[in-house]
Amino acid sequence: MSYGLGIAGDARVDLQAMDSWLQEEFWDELEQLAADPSRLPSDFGTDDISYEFKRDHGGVRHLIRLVLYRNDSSQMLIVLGIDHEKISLHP
Amino acid sequence: MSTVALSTFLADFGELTLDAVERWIAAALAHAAALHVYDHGLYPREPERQAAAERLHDAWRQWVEDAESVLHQAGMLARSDRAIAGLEALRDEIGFKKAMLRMPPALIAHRREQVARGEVYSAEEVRRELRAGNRR
Repeated sequence: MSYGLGIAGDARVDLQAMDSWLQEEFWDELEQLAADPSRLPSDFGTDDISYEFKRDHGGVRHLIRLVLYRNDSSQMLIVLGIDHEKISLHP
Repeated sequence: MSTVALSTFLADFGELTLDAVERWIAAALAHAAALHVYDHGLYPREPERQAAAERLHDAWRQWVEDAESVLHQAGMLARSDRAIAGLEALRDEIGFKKAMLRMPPALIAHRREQVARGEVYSAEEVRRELRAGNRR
């Protein structure tokens, strides 16, 4: 059972702050989550969900964190917030 | 729980041994694992649970501060021959939590209100908008 995807108004600004290649990684990850929502934590009840993933690129590790609004009745996954932190892989 | 900041405490005793640093890293990761038990409370939808969520974020803020002190000590030993156990995991956890702290409960509550007002864009719409912006 796959879910539809939405982006909350101001979360678009979060995305604009990311490099274009990382935006594409974000979409890939989000589409995989929407296709298989069982990958998300299931014990959050009505609370919003945090989800983390990482990507290494050009000697830098990008740690991405999302906050997601999951609505099982409308089968929607809505991104409320995105932020990311960069760390050098060769400190 | 100690009332002495970990950064102060560690600085008092100078450079740590590899064994001591690995113990501090393991302790920091164990502390993070204990805080993760409350992940479901980071972004509650009920207004009456917002204060507890803020305190949980404060607990993570303190954890990041302490964990960075440990990371700093580990950095002094990082050129030793042997890899430091848990160092990469600690670095990742600190990074993820710094990202989390930039999304406090009040900010997410505001975004949730946007969703309630119908200010939600489809993924296709946002993707198109971003790609157009990236080409400029």
